[in-house]
Amino acid sequence: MNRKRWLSLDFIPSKFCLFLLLSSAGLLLIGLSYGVGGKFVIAQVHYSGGGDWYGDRTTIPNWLKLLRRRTDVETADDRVIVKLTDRELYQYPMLYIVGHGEIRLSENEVEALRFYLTHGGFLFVNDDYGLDKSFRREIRRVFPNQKLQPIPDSHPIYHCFYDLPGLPKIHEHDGDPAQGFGLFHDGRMVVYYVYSSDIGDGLEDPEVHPNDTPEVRELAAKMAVNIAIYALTH
Amino acid sequence: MRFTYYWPWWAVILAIVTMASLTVYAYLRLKRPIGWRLKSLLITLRILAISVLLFCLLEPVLIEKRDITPPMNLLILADTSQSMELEDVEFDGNPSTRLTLANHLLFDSSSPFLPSLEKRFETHLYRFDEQSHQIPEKLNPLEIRGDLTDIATAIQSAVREWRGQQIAGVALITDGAHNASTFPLDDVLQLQIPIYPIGIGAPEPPRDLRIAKIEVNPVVYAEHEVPVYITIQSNGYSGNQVRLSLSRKEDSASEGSIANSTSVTLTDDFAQVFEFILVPESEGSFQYVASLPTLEGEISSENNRKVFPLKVVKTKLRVLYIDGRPRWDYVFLKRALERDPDIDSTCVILSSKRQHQFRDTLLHTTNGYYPQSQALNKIRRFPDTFQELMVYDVLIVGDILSSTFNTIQQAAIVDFVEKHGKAIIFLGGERSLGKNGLIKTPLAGLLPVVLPPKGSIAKNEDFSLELTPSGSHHPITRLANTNAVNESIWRDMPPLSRWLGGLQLRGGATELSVYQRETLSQPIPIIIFQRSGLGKSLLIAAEGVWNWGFGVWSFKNEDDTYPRFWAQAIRWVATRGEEKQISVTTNSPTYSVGDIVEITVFAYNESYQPLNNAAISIEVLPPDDQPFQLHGRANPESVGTYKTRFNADSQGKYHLNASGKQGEVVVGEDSVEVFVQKQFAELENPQLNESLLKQVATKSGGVYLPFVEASNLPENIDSQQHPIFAIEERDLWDTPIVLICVVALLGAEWFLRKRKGLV
Repeated sequence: MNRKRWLSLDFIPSKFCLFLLLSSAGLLLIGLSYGVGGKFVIAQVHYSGGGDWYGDRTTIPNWLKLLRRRTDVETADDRVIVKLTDRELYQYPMLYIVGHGEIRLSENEVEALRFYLTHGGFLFVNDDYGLDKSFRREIRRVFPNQKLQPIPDSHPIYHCFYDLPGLPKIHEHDGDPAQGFGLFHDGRMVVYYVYSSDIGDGLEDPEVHPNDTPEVRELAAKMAVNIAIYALTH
Repeated sequence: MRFTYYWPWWAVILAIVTMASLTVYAYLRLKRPIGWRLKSLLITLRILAISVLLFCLLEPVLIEKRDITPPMNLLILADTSQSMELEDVEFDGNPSTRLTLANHLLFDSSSPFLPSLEKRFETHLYRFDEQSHQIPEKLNPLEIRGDLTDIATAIQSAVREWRGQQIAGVALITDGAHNASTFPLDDVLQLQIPIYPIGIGAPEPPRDLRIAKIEVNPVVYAEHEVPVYITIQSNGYSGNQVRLSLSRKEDSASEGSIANSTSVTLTDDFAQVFEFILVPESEGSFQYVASLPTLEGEISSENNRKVFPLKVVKTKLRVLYIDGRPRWDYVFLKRALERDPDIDSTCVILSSKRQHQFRDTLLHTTNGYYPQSQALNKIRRFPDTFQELMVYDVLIVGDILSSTFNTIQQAAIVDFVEKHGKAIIFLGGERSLGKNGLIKTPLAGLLPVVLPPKGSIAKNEDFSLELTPSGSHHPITRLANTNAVNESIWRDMPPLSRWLGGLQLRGGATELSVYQRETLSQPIPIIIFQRSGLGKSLLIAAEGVWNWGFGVWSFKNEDDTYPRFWAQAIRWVATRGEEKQISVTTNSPTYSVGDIVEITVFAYNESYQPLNNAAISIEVLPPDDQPFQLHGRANPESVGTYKTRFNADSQGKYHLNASGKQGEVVVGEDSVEVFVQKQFAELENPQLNESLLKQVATKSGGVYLPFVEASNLPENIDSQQHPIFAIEERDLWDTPIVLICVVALLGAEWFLRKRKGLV
């Protein structure tokens, strides 16, 4: 078959069918896959409440690329998206929550998140500006007897790969200092929440936030690497 | 009646008419005058004689139909298990055992039970416990025999003996205390024979106090706290205060000083669980006894104490785990090791990147080790010297490159395992089993597999494991007490995500689990071990084992598979004292009387390669009987493994001494002790189980009768039979009477004719 025939209009329906077939086969494989062949991946949580759970589209791919290049971690290329009530949740021991608006978890999601975190999972939450109030309310439902604790600058999460002085400030938001908070279970930090820092935005493609300087982006990159290495070693 | 030679009716009539006509014609032509009466008589006699002969020529046969229906069989099964010894019924106004009632019913001359049944049925008497046994002599009273009751098997085995014959039913004289298993009602109903249970015993549970269960880790560490959970159950003593004691058994006869005790207020409402903390001071194998006092009126005092073994080992196992990259397999194993109270673990990750690649990171100051919560100057590193490495009992090597260890370290690891009997576990990955991994180092010789010349190729694929026959029973992969549960646990495990291709098992390696890939003829080895010199090496040739510790939660709410698997694997590879060339083990340290003790003997040559042609003999010294000899049979599925078994019939300690020979050369010896205690199942729920007996009766088409109504059994049994007839044929022509008739008729004719001068 020559190239001209392959590109000709009358062949398009066949090509389209082939494309559909290959796409469905690919989707089927993704659907059946357990994890991503042993590679490290971060799952972004599709939560309820109306907030933009889908934000930071380029954050996780860039994050994974950073880990691949700078550390020994073998990573996948792209993020996966899960709901807290999905059965697939347990294929991904590290979750990422981001957003500007409202997050509201159903009772089932609260139960699922509590079970996930107390049985080995790790959650990184990035307040993209506006998530703080609803996230604090919801995480209190998940762990009613615990409060988010400020994470001191001496905590291993700031010193497990890069030696950082503390949580870097990436975006201005309301001008508050960048603050990291944690929740612990059996001595292990299971939730790491960053407020008024926005590590997620710092990892986005440069054109998404063109005002971010390379130095600021590098700080976000180092912090992101530390977060993932912390999750993979503690 | 029928004729053998069939002539049509007209031919018979024609023959008779012809003969008669000829006779009449002959007599009519007679010239001598004789009266018509005599003539008629002569003609009649001749015709009759000819007719009889004609009749005989047709060979008539008489057909007889006889009723040969045999009498119906009735199988009578009497329970002789230990629960029948309970004295909870009355006979003649006096307290009596259940068996006394059964004996009275069956053998007392005043009892009409058996005679009334024998009038209508062919009765066959059996005694039963776990099996049924026919009683040849009906006059002998029954005696207590069995430690367990299996009503279903007893019925099935008795009925099997009468297969093909008509069985009116099975009369079951029992307390219904079936305790061998869950009652297999469907199997009994498949026999399609009505069951007529006669219930003996009191339906209320007897007064009793017993130790129901003891839970303790059988291998513990000296000078460490060991929790022991003792479950007690009581009935009829609610509110009583007793003392529950735990003591160490000094020898077979005496119990040592009380290690711990507590006061217990009994309740009938639920089982009570008490926690004791033992702190064994020295290493060794010990027996402990949990005991309760005997209370007045108890049905049995034997179940007030229970013995359990405890193997105390010296100290915590020291485990060093080194990996080549941060990954979920690393962190989940690290957490499991840190949570195991009997393991002192050190977990490190050594980067495979070059120094300049991480110059602005902390790894620059740690020589490539990932910092993990320690101060930088305290980060553990892989030992540089053999002496430092010898501090550890088990080394776990993760997904590393060949450059991870220098040559001194590589040589130290080989000596650590082969010369000093320590253990190594390889977590095979793309790097470690690939072309730049262990294949380039002497460590490849410790692997229980041979790697392809260019290293193994990793395949990303979700797959589940299957246990091999060796894996089904091996202490590493045995995650439940029964085979069925163990297999279901492995079947339900979340899949692994990456396997390594091209691995060839070494001669002495044993596969515990494999991936049976449809497109490949040979299964892919996944969990494999071998003896390496004096030590052991274990390989998990796959990635994604962390799924057993995390992915498992997607469908389970409670699971300890992952920590249990690792605890067992580490303990097994670290077990010392296995330097012996002959090693004997049993499938359990304790048994109940009647259990089967399964013995496995492992035999190795001088270089600790499995021996497949050894002669293995095991001397068994029972507690109160003559020693006897067993011979181990080579297990074809596992080289160097020999198996045999025996029935533990006596209560007490059994010594097993195994020895192996190769030709005339003695390979080695080993011994082990097992403890056999009395079977208490008969006392656990000994009350009359009317509900079970009624259910069996109703569903099988029979009737349940309490003992007092046992005499009504005959009229309750449906004796309607399928009649059986036999067809018999008798030759009529071949009898003397025929000849006599013919001679008499012809003789009479001749006599008459003679008188009249016709002859």
